[in-house]
Amino acid sequence: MTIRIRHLLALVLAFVALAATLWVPAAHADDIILKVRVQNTAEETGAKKQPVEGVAVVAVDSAGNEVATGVTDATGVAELVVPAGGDYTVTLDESTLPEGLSAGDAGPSRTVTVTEGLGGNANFNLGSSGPEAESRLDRLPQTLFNGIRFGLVIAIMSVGLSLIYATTGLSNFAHAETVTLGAVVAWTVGTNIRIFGGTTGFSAFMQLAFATVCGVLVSMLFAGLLETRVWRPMRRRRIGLTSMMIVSIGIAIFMRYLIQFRFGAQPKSFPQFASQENWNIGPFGATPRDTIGMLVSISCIGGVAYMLMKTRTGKAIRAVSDNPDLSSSTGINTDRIILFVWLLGGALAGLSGVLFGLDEQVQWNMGSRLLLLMFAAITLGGLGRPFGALVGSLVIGLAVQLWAWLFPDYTDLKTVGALAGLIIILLVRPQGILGSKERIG
Amino acid sequence: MNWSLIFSNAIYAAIGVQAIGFALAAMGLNIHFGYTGLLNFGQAGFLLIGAYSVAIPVTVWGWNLFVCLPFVVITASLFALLLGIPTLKLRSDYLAIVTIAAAEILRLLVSTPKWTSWSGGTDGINSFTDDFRNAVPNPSAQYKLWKQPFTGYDLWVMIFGWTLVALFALLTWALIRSPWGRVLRSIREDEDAARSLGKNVFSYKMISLVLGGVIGAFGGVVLAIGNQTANPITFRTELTFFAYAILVLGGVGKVKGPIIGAMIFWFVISFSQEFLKNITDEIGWRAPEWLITANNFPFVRFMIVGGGLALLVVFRPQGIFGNRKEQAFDVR
Amino acid sequence: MSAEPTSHEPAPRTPDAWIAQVPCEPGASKPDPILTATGVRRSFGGLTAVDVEHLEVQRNTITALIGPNGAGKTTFFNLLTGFDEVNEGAWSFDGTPMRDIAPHRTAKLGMVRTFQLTKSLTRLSVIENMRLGASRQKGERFWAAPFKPLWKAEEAANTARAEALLERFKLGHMRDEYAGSLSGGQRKLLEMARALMVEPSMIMLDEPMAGVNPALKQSLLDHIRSLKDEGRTVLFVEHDMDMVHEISDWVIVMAEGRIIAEGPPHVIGANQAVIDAYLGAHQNTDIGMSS
Repeated sequence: MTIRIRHLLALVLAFVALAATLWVPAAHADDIILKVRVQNTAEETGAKKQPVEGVAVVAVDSAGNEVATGVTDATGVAELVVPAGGDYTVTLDESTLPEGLSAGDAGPSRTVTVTEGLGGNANFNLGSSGPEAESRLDRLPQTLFNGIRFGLVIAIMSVGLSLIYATTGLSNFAHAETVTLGAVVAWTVGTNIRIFGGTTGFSAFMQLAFATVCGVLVSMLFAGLLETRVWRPMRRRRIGLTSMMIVSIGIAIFMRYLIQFRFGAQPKSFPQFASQENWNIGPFGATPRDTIGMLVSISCIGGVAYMLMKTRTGKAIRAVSDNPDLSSSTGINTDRIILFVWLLGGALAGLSGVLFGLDEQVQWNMGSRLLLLMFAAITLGGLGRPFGALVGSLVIGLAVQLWAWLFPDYTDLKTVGALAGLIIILLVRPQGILGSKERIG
Repeated sequence: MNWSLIFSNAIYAAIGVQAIGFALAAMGLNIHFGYTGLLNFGQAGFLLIGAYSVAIPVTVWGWNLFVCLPFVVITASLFALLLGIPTLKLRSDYLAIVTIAAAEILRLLVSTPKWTSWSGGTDGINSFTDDFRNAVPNPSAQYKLWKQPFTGYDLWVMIFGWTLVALFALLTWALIRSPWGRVLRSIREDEDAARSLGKNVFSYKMISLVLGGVIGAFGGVVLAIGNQTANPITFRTELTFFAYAILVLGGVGKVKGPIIGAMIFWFVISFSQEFLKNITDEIGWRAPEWLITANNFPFVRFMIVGGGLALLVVFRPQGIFGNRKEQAFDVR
Repeated sequence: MSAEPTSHEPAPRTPDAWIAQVPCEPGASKPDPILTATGVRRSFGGLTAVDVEHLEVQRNTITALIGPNGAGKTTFFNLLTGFDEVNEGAWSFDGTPMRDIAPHRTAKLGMVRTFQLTKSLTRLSVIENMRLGASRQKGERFWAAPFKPLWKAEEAANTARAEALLERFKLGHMRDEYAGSLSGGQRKLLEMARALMVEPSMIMLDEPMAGVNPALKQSLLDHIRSLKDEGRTVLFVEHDMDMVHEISDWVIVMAEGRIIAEGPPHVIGANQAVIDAYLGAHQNTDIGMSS
């Protein structure tokens, strides 16, 4: 294999990514920070996770001594300095909570384990205290909007998974880790390699864009490496799909724990974008971050759709999905197409990781938490149908949000609703929404 | 470097509760995947059912723990039927996704704070083992395996567990060498061929699902009794993945494969854990901080699992005891 | 019945009496049909794969089903045995209506088929493949299976029968080999032998000669004839016209899903519609089975 510029570029990128992960700033030898975040998730405001300012919080150690107090700032965060590692109880002063908000089901206290190197996190999600200001029906548009937004993020993740399945037949369990990888690299680069100085506004946005590009490139590289070094040789040796799937499980486990090893077990957020005020248009509200994320999602999916339908490569992809042997005999270089699909899938996965990380937090298991939803989405939409992945993802996204809307007491079961729905639909229409019944014999 | 402690920990792990529980999980999976070709990715769900079918009746209905054991057979069979009736007619890809979904649904249901009075929520159920403790002689006695201490309770859990393993292994062996087992193996390779010879493929697959599920459920029972807790975090999808890793390691489609695989698996996990702990703590030689620290070494053992599984499948898919010619998973 | 692999002249046979009485038209009625099919249709999207108005197969005969590639012969087999779902139509086997019967039940009722692409179970040994074929095995029941004494005798009897069949098909020496190590032609033979273990009333062979060693073909033909002597009915799909001429009592011709001709072999060979159908398609060269 001759060495080409792209190989060198790939090597450089890999080195950058690896270096970035190693370059996590060492904990200050003196300060051990217990970060307390207070957010409002009450449905009335029609938005997710608004920061709550001005809440007094107290940290008490396991002996009952009060060790630190603080008040949350405009981003909803109070950083308490604690003297040592160990278990602490963090309590909200409920008298300082704004009107209409209460500590919620989980109560005003949390027990947090603080470690010396990493600090600790306490999160408070406030609920409403008074009678509902809005009726359920008024919240429906926002719920639908959130469902579509979530569905789009899942769609970007799943479309790659679906294309990989369509062209190679492989159920790629490592796709989840590709998502996480993109997010983790983006976070690490964004935090440690500061090209754009400022922490707010346009400068912060450009830094994020730069970080995202790095994340996407590394995910792409990862996917491409897997295809050329693992899957293609296995296909050549005619190793079956079940074996390949189990290999992907092994890779997924390896990557998951490698990321946890280097990145740490604690979730981290993109601080500049963590808590923002909503832009409200009529019944819909979304933060600037979410809005831009949605626009990015839509344009990506549009781009992929255009590529599939209008370009030669897209046509070749559809041909290979349909019938790989026939395609190669008509002159399509199936290996090149498959590599393209893997690179595209990897890039999309990385991008969706960043988007999801912005939405919630960057965490070592963020991908694997979503893996099931991804598989559900592509199965629901019709296995092997990329547009099915889009449809399925939107359905899953809506199902998850609608469940929370229908059953506010059971929000932790919202995934259950989506999964149960998947099972039921498979019984009635096993080929999925866009799939066609197979021919036997 | 305390080698004797490291090794005794590892040996104990190889014969302890975790190994037994995972051996049973993998034995069940061996019936599903190894002998019948069913891609069951919800084995963790069966273990969960086993554990909670003991924990819930004891704590909520006041049953005697031993009475729960036949109950486990019933609940596991019901779950298998519930899973199988709709999905066994679907393609294998669908079976995989549905089984993962079902197991995850179960796990979420027992975690939800709303039903904590039944299921213990995320803390799980923790005090249901008294009947077992009272039934065994000398539960508080202190023993030592080389440098590893354990109690009389632990000893009896291990005796109970390994007896189960032996019984199920015997049953599996007897079934697989019989004409019934032959039909299973033909279904694994080509269902239509079996059908063309008059075999009711659906019914065989269903029975296989039930049998493997029941065995897995007893794995959950052992984990629950041994660890004295029934907790949802134990039964997440990763458990199924580890069971597959054990299965591949030992050799898919061989009776002793999952058993030896589980023992080796937990030996390696324990060994690497203790070894890395030793080289990252304050005592003796210490590995460089930039490479590995006291905070992140626990993750390395699972990196070994993942990497090991991938390498095994590529380079030695038949595992330790498998037969390359009878290579149990696919040449499709 | 010994088989001689050397070539010999076909033993002179008198045609069965019923043949003279039946008109040579598609859908002709037979005096004692074991299989009757009416209005069987199967389409995929816009393509009609099978459209059989009426078909009857005479009991205890050797009937050939021929036609150019894509005529729908294998699809028809799949439909009859329940491996595929019809869009419309009904058929009965030995008096029993067969529509919507699951494929394993059609086999239990006596209709056993082989496959165009052999389904020998490569990871079982040859003798295990054969034992699998035996019907009504006590050992195949879950509750009896763990207890060997319950099925030991039956298994021994089945094994003896299997070994005899293997000898007839010249596979005896491969008894303990994995079926995967057999050649393509040997796998075809194994599949046929295995199907015979089921003791079917009607055996449906899909291209039984494909890839089989010419020296073996003759003994194979003798075996198929002997099936008729045993009282069974044989329905087979073939492209090997010599075989068709040599052993079939009756020939059915399909093209584009329809039956276009029926009759004894010598009549079919001269039938213009049949010739047209074949000339319209590429002549099939027997490329043998890939091993």
